[in-house]
Amino acid sequence: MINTIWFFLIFVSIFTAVADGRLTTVSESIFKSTAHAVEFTIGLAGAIAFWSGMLKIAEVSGITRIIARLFQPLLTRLFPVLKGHRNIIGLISMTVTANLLGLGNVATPLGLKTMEELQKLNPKSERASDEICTFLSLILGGLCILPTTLIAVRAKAGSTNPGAILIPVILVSLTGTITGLTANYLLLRAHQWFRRKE
Amino acid sequence: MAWLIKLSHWCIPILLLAILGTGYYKKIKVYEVFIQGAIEGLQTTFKLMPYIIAIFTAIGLFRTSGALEWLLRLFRPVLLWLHLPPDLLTLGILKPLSGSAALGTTAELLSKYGPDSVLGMTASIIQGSCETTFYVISLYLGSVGIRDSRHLIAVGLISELAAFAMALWIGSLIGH
Repeated sequence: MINTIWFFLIFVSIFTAVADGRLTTVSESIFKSTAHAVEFTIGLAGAIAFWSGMLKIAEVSGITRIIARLFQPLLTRLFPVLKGHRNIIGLISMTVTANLLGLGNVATPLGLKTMEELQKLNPKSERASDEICTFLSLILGGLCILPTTLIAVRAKAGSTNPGAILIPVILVSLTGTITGLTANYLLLRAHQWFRRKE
Repeated sequence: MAWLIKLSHWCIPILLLAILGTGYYKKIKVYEVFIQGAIEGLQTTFKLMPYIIAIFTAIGLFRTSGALEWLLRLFRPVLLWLHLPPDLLTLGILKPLSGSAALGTTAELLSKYGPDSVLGMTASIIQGSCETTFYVISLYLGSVGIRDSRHLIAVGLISELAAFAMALWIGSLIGH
């Protein structure tokens, strides 16, 4: 699917640029976007390296397993296969918590570390496993209880009550997350069903 | 509200103290273990670069070529029929594509309509409760070299759509 979407994004863009006579914007845009992508990744590198280092300490000292124990009852329902893997359950809990608190800089390194561990259990390394699909559905739902950046932007725009959106954001992101997880569950079940029929 | 924000400022210092404190107490060589983790983190980051270049270029082209405007124009009649302001759709379409562009649009909408207006509130709710689907999928899958994303883009867009509809509904409740 990503192949089709990526292809069409570029194809439609070039087609539109040609139709509008904006040919020079194509190469300009490519130059700008690639430079921005490299800057962005390098900007991210420091935070990822720092938090990966900290996480390694958390892992070795057993903190990840303690956190796992707290979230285990809830998460083993979503990830029945991961029942014995305390470390991964701990990492998933930490990623979700960081997202909940709006700590983007911590959430990304945590999420990537979780992916690395989930990938070790993936039998087909080029294809997303069921657990990876469920984990990403959980992240893509965008569940958030403290949208820090958003509140800052609202305050800067002169809002009299920047935090007024807090309860709506919790409700809306919860709706999105539950819908996403349900869709993922149904699609995984449908896939299993088709495979059995074959 | 203020205490919640204060709590979020305390999160990172407390987390760092807890991790380092426990590590030191358990006689772990904190510095060496940190470096080992940081090396792994850096390797991951450089593996990510091609994926980020691919996604940023495609989305950059889509915005600058005028294809995005064209897509928005296509949806305009539906919006007018539903009595929805087109500006919110721009945000709804940008959000799964690009986090920074969506944040910029939100800031623009807030200064144009006022952060406490119905539209300003709705835009804030959309901004706060949707994820940047394409970026998250390519980043997370890219970091471990997965090429087949299965149904994940569909799941991302479905949850985005549910959140978008819910945000519009709550926005209309605020307006009444």
